[in-house]
Amino acid sequence: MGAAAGAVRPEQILKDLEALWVELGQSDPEKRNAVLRACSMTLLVALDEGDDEQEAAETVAELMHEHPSRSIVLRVSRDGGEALEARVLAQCWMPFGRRQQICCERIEITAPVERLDEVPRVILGVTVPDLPVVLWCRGARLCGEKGFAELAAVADKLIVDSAEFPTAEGGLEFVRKASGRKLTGDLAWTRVTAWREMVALLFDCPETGMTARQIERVRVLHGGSEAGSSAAYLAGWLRATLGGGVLVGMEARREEEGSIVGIEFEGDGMRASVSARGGFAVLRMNEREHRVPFAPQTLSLLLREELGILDRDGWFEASLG
Amino acid sequence: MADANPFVDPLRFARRVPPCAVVIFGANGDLTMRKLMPALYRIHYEGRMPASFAVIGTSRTAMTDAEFRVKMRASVEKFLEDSPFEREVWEGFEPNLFYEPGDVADAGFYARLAARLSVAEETCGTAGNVLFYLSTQPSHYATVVRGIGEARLAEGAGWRRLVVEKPFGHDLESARKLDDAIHEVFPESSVYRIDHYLGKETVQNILAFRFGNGIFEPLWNRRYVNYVQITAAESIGVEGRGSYYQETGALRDMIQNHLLQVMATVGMEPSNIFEAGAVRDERAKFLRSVRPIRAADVDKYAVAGQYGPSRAGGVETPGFREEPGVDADAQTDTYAAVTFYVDNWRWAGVPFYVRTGKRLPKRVTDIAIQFNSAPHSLFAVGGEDGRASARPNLLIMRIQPEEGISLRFMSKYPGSGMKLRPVSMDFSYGSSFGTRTPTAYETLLVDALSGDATLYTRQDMVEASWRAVAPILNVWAGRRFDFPNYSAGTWGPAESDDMLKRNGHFWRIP
Repeated sequence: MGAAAGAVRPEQILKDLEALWVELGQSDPEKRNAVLRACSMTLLVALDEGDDEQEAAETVAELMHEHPSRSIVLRVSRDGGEALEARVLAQCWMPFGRRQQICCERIEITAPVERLDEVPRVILGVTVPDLPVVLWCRGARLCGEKGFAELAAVADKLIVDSAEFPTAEGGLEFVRKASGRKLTGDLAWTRVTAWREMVALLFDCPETGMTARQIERVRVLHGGSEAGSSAAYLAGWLRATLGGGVLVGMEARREEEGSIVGIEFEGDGMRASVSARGGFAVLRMNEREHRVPFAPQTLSLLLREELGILDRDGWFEASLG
Repeated sequence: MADANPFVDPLRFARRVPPCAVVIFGANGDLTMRKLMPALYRIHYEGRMPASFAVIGTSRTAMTDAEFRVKMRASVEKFLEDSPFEREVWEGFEPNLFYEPGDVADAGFYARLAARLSVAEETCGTAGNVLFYLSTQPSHYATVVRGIGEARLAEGAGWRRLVVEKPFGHDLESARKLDDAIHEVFPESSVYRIDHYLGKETVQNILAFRFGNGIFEPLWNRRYVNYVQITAAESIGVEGRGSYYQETGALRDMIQNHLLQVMATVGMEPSNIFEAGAVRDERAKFLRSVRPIRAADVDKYAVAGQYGPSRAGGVETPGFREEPGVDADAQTDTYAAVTFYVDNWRWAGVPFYVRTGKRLPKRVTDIAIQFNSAPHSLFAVGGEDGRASARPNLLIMRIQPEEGISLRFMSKYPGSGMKLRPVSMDFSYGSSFGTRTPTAYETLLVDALSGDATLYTRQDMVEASWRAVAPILNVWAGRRFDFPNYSAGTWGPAESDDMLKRNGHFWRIP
C-alpha cells in the first residue's frame, strides 16, 4: 500500500503517514481494530546505488517481527539526478492464528549523493520521538561520503559491516574511529557470536577435563588467502580472553570458503577444535566428538542481534583493539 | 571449584544448560509426551543443550532405549508448539535418550538407575549433575524420593536437583508430610516445585510491567485500586479426567496453586534484586498476608459451583455428574470464586476476587485492576440517564489466549459538546514481538537445569497458599451442595455474582 510521492518536507511525510493509517483503519470496516500499530525504534537504512534493494527490503520486513520500527530507507543515487524524493508505505503482516494485522511504517527517501548532507534534517523531523534511532549503513562506500557523519549523528547506534569494505584493515579502521564517537555495531563481529558460543561450549564439557588454562596455542582458520574482519575479530577476542601468554594465530585454508572455517586449540595434554559442517558445528575434544546445531547466519538474524543491543559491548571493544 | 568458563558472554549468548542428566519418573505419561520432551527437544533445537547430556526416562512399562526413542519422537512431532520438527536435529538429540523400566517401590530399580547414571556420566559426560523430575502420580512422590535417597542417588560429584509437579499435597497437613519426605533426601535449595503458570511469559511480564516502569507502581495500592479480579476460565469440561477431578475440584486444582501465585505476582512488593531468594521472599510475604477466612464467613467470601447439562447451538453438553468416572451425587466444585483480603499496608481493604471454572463460555485467563473513579465528575452530559457515564480506569493483563495489556480510560466523543466514552488502549504481547514465545516448560526446565529457582514455588509459599484456602475446603468438605447450580456455557452460579454485589461490584465479562 503506498501514498503519493510528495515533496521532501518532514511535515508532509508525517501527514502522509497519518493519512495512510486512516486508510488502513478503513480498509476493512467489518473487522474492528483490524490493524495494530507497533513501534520500538526508528530504523534508518542507508542504501547506496547498486546495493540489493530487494534483499534490504526483505531483511527489514523480517526484522519488524521482533523489532517493530518506523523504517526509513534512504536510497542514495549516483545517476546524476537532482531531486530528493520521499514516499510512505505501510508494511503489514498477519501473525499466525491472529485476527489483527500488525503494521509498521516505512518511509522511502531517494537522494542524490551530492545532496546527502541535506538528508539528516529531513530525517530529524520524521524519527519517532523518544525511541532509539539505529542507522544500518548497507554499503561501505557510503560511509566515506561527505555528509555521512552528519547522517550518523542522527542515530543512537550505527551498524556497518566491515566485511563489505575493500580491505579488512580499512573496515576495521573505520569501525575503530566510529566506535570512538558513538555506539557502533559491526556485522562482521556479530557473525563471530555463533563461533564464540561453540568455543564456550567446548570448554563446558567436564568429561574432557579441559580448561582454558591449558591452552597454549590457538589457530583461527579462515577461507581464501586473506583473513577477513570476522576472523580478525575472533582472533582479537581469543587474545583478549586468554591473555598475552597464549599464541593466537590465523591460518588460511585456501580451498575452503567462508571468513571463518574453524578454530584449533592446543596445549598441555589437550587438542580441541571447532568446525562447521552442514548446519552443525563439530566440536572435537581430544578423542571425543560432538555435533551441535549451528545457527544459520542470515542478514536479518545478524541485524536482529545488533538491534537488541543498545548499550556498550565490552567484548566487541576489546576484540576491536 | 572448577575454573569458570572465560568464554561465556552473557550479553550475546543464549542461556545454556550445563552438562547434566535428566531423569524423568513417569516418562510414559501424558506430561512427558505433551510437554517435557517437546520442551527438551526445543531447547536442543535452539542449541541451548550442552554437548554432554542424557535424558533417562523411567516408568513401569517395559521398553528398550530404541522403543523409547521412537515413542518420544512421535510425541515431539505431534506436540511441538510453534516450531518445525527437523529430522537432522532430532538425530543429534535422540542418541542421548535412554530408558530404564521399573517399579518405583522396588529397590533394585534404583540400583539399575544408578548404573545407568554412571554410564551416562562416563559416556555422555554429564559431570555427575542430575535433575530428577517427578512426573508420576502424586501418590508415588514420597516413594520415589525415598528410593532415590536409599540408593544414594541424591549424592554425587555434581549437583542433584528434584523437580516436583503439583499438587503439593491435598491440604496443609499432607503438603507438610510430603515436604518432610522430600527434605529427608534433598535440601530445600535443591527442590524445584513447578507451577507452570509462573513460567508463562505473560505472568513474568507482570513483573516487568510493574517493576520495569515508574508510572504504575505509585498507583498500585489501596489508595487508587478499588479491586482486583483474577479470572481463569475454561470452556472445556473434565475431558476424561472425571475420576481424578472429582477428588480435586476447582479450588484445589487452580486457586490454591496457580491463581494464588498469579495474585502474589500482582500484589507482591518489589524485591531489591531479581534473584530467586529475594523474589520468592516477597511472594511468600504476600501469601502470608492473605487473611484467613473464618469458618463462619466462608459462605460470604467463597462460592462453589458445579455445572449441569446444557444445550447450545444444537450441541448437548453433559453435566459434571454425567461425565464418565464421576459419581451421580458428586459434591465436587467445578467452579470456585473467592474474595480474598490481604492484610498489609499496600492492600488493606482491597478485595481480590478470584474465580475459576470449567465449562464457562470461553477459555480466558486475565487479571483486571479496577481503579477508583475520578473523585468528581465535571462532565454532566452523556450516558443514557443524562448523567456522565464515568467509568473508572481499568487495567487488564491478559495471560491467555491473546496475551497483552489494555488500559481503559475515558475519551471525548468527537463532536460538539462534552460527551465521554470509554476507550481501550491495547498492547498485544504476541504481536508486538513477532518472535516465538517459549513454552512455560522450556523456560522452567532451562531455569531448573541452570539452578535458577526464581520462577519455582517454595515450601513456605505452598504452606501459605494452603492456609489461605484451608478454611474454605474444611467448610465445603462437610457440606452437601445443591448441585448443579450453573449451566455449562454460562459464567457460573448466581451466588458468585451476589458475592460481588454485596460490595457494589460485579464480575467483568472477559
